[in-house]
Amino acid sequence: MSNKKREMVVLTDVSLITAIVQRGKADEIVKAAQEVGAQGASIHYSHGRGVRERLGVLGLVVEAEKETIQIIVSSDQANRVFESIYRAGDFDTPGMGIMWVTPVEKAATFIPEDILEKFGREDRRNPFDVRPTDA
Amino acid sequence: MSYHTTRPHKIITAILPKGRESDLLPRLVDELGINSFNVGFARGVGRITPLRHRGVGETTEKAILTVLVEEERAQEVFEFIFYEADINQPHGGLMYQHPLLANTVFKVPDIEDEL
Repeated sequence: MSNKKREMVVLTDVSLITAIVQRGKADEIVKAAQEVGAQGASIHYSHGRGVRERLGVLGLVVEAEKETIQIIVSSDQANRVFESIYRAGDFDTPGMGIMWVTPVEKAATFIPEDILEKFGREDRRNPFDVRPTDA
Repeated sequence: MSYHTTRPHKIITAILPKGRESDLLPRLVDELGINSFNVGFARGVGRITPLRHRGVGETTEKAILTVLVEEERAQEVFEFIFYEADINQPHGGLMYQHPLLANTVFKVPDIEDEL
């Protein structure tokens, strides 16, 4: 391993929202998620079957090609983001997609120093667990 | 049923800038002995992606690495990926870890090298 300064900030109380939607819908849905606090998302293409095959001729309006959206959010935000995605994706309409939330044990990413300082100083209940390690 | 649940496992997922996985994967094999993993590709949308930073756009290509490891090795592997894939750098990606209820053995058996 290299001799870089080592400091891992582990995020806990994190949830993963996964949504499978019709191809072409993902950008609009991610935008809705970002509007209520999600930082970002990863999107990949997939192929699914389900209600489309049961709708007969009407099934043609359901796109077989899917986009799978994955969004990591804090558990506090999960409900809000989930509802926003639900509304933006019209999940109450058959064939529009499916989504779920799974708990994440821990997550890690780059966190700017000023944000670390802010949480460390102002909020003792912060979800960040700072674990400095030696080089 | 023949799946094995003898030891608890964790699944570690890393979302990396595309291309970074090509250096990391051989090191997982050579240095940690992990010879089984999955890599997929996706587009990443974020508020502070490098492209958006330059005013070009906000979508970047990502590689999604998924590794299944025994619970007792999870911390070691998590740290290895975190530091060696430069996740601790700006625009370095994101990684997370899940517990599992059950899993099959995600390990390739040792095979003697052919001469």
